[in-house]
Amino acid sequence: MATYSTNQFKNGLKLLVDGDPQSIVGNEIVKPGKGQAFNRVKLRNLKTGRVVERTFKSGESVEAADVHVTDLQYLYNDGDTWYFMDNSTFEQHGADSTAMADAVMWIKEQDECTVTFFNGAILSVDAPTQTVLKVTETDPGMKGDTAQGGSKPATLESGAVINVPLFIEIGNEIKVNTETKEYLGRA
Amino acid sequence: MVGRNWQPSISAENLRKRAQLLSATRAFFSARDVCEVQTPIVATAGNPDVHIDSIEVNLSAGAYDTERGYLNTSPEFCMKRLLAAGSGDIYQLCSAFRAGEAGCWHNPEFTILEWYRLGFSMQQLMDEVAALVSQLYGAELPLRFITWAEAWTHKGINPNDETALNQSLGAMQIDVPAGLSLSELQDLAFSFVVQPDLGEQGLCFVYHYPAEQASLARLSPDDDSVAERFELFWQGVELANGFVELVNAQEQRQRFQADNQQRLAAAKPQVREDERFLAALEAGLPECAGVAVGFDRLVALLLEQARLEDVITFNASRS
Repeated sequence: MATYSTNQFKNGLKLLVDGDPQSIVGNEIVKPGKGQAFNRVKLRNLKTGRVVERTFKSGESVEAADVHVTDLQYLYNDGDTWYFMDNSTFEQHGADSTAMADAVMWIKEQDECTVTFFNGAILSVDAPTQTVLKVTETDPGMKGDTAQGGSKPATLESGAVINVPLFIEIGNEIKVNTETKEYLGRA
Repeated sequence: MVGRNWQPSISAENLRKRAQLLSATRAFFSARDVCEVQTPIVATAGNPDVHIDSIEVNLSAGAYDTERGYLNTSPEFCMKRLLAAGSGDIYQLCSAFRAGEAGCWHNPEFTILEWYRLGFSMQQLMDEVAALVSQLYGAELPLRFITWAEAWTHKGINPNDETALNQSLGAMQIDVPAGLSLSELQDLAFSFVVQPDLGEQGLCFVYHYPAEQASLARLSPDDDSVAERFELFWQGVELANGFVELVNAQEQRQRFQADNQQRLAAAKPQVREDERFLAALEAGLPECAGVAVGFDRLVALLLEQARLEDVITFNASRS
């Protein structure tokens, strides 16, 4: 069982706290003049995304979470499971809908996704931050509309719905930011 | 991995202001006839205090008595050897090192301002610390003096009641790690519940720490349950720690041994007791009071900065 001592704490380190893998997003030493020091640590739960603060006695060891992050290619889904492939080993891994979360709305086959494993299973999947998707449904653009005016909802081939300028039509390929869910431009 | 970020963490403006504060500090002591000294940064013996971890250095290539040494956690032992040798009142501005201490208000290497006054009482030394800070600030800061026990009473907490300590932390949304001793629980609650309000309106001196937290202070002649030790807080930040110094060599040796017992219990490495320091105490340390000020913290507060790295040239992640 790998452990980390509090003096190895730094942002990004993955700990096993309350049975869940958690990533350090803040670490502050608190120490009275001549007394016991404590680490006040901000942790982001990699399962739930929730951020909590926890206190550790400085010098103590905390169990490391068996977490690794890698880029895998999205292949297909069979309704329950989304399949990804490691392009160096050709090994395939499946993710359930909990692990997929929002990513299902943004990915299409062949996309390189950032996949986080916990104890050998896929914990979460992040769609590429920037991607190109085809518009499958939107109201027709009105005559005379130009780039500066208004926006309308458009459904993308992956399933996500975002606001696009009025001149975008069905069949157009557009660049989107999957984190901010924003239209970036025509592809 | 070592980065290539060569830029300092301090701004050019703060660099100049810090220099002014350094020279104003030296002028303060010069006017009071306190002699500036420099003692070694590398020591062959360390500080066994269980809560202070030294950075070890390899001395095998030097002309030292030992192969393994330590970077000073404070210049205290050498300064007391000077006092025992008849130096009279002395002060020092130097780097001190504490392993693993990093954060907004900590850096493993930091500047300490430490001075010793012969024959001073605790009150005289607290007054002198206040005079220095007010002079550097440029105006008289309001002063408050409270005992360690009063600091808790003002918060309505009995520091010997574990339930009360736990409740006070719970009310601040601070979780408490399992298995803390009473003194560790007190340390946690003091840091999060008591300290943030200390020195809000000026300088707040907390004195008469419990005898178990005496460190190198002598116990009060009137009440041996408390030590003649004080700390200074300003804007919730701990700035200084002072003692009426323990001059009894035998008692000092016992405290070192007790410290190393605690280190053993905490599975920390033993730290060689400083025999030269103990020999100086045996030869006779004059009655004196001494204080160490976290100079970087003082500069940060004077310059209204919220992080140490804004007032030091290169913090640990850049050094």
